[in-house]
Amino acid sequence: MTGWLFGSALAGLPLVGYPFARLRVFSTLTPAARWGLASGAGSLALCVSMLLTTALHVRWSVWLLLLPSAAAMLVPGDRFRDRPAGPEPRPALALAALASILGVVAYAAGTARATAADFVLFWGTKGERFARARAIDVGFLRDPLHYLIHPDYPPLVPGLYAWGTLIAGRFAWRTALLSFPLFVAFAAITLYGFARPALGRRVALENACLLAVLLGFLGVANMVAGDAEPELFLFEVLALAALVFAGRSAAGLAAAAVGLAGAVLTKVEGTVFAVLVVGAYTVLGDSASRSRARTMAVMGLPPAAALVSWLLFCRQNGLLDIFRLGARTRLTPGELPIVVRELVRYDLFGPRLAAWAVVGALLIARRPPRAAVFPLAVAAGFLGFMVYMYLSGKGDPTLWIQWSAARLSMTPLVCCLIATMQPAAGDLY
Amino acid sequence: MLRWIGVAVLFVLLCAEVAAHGPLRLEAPRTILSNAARVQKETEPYFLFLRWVAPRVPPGARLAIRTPAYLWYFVALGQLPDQIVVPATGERGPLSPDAGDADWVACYFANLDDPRYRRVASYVPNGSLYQRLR
Repeated sequence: MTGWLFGSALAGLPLVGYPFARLRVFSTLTPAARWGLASGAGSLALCVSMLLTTALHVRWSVWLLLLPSAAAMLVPGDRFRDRPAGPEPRPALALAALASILGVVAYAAGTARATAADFVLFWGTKGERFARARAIDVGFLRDPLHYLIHPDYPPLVPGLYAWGTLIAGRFAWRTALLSFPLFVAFAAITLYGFARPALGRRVALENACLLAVLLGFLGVANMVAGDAEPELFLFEVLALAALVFAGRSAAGLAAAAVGLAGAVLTKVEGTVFAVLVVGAYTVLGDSASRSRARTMAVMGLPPAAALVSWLLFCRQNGLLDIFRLGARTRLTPGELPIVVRELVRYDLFGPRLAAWAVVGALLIARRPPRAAVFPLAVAAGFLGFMVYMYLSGKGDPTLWIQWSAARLSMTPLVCCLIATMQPAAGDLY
Repeated sequence: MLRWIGVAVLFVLLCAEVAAHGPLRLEAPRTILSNAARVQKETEPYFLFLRWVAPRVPPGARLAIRTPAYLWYFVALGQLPDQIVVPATGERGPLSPDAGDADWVACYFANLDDPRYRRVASYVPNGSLYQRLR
């Protein structure tokens, strides 16, 4: 029963985010895009509520955390309505393929074939402790014994685990692993929803299949079940799909802002991703009638506010660690050959080579238009960040690369994959 | 067409990756590490040890965990949420002061030689549980 309740709490995140996705600013989006947005907005709203209530020294309860969603219901909105341009056949094959992919990924996660080491050591433990304390447990995070947990690591994923624990009454370790297929499904729905007006139902669903199988395969190969990667992918896909397929509309920019704010509160590299997306889209994106400054403000302010809030909270409670950048040493360009060699070894060789080969082949075959430069620039920037990170760490970067490079490089792969999906003639929003 | 080839290639690799992690069964695994990567799988016996410890130590009791690997303290933190878990350094000898006044001590591939504690249960292959003498 605990597992079912915990799983329902996570699967119900789109319902928590529904009041935000029904706001009129999003009325031009398809129902699938709005449900995808709702899954991200629900996760983000819970995290923001948790941060705010902890800062105000108010203990969490399920109803208290749902207050922002309840308040959003009071704002005028509309129901999710489908407005297809014309009759489209039901793509049965693609639907069956997507269901099969998600089924295999769920089987892998449910039978503990993709369990992340950090889930057992840190993510799950943090979520459990937060739920017990009914707060972001500052005492626990600040304890020198728990330094390895990284006290200032963004709180969204432990927050979601705490949410599940509050509803279930106990942390469900086994069920938490299923957050991997769940968030891959959310990401696939999000991509499909945003891509559908531009690409048509069949092609959009095929692309959703491709995204799901890419994330599923690499997620199992890199053991990310229970980790924060699946949540990060949802936010990244939300931001990129919204900008690539609906960047000209206010709805697209607002949805991207939700994705970027979520990424910032999910992982440290989410901040890097957000900076790259805002920068690249401002320079390269298709913002039509909007000024670049306004585009940057609409997209950049929510993630900036999320980051500043978290950093202020950490500073006030003596939690600053990674964000102090104290562990960084000076750049050691002499280690560049080692870093590149190890990155190629651990990221390209082995089964992961197939993922790069598929995405590369699609990029070459589809010859993406100029608009594809934006996601490709984000991918290049992120790869550059990875090289910089490994060059500025303490000691020999080899072990660090072995540990993290394959997981980190899933972000540029997703960017490149989305670049292959560029519509031929502008978006339809 | 190329997209479908990509989906097919990656789906086959996904299935191969799933199959490579252990026999395909439709039953729940023993622990969340049963079919994980080799390094994580090596922690599974410790997981089972903690599962053995959990019902033997009353909720709210202060429990020191003595293991050769410091990271395993974090595993215990997550798996024993009802107890107050603290790490205990060393692999033998008396309990170090950093563990405070623990009511219980769980040793895994470690021993405790401390007159303040008595062994109350043993776990095969190499675990033991001690309670403080009153």
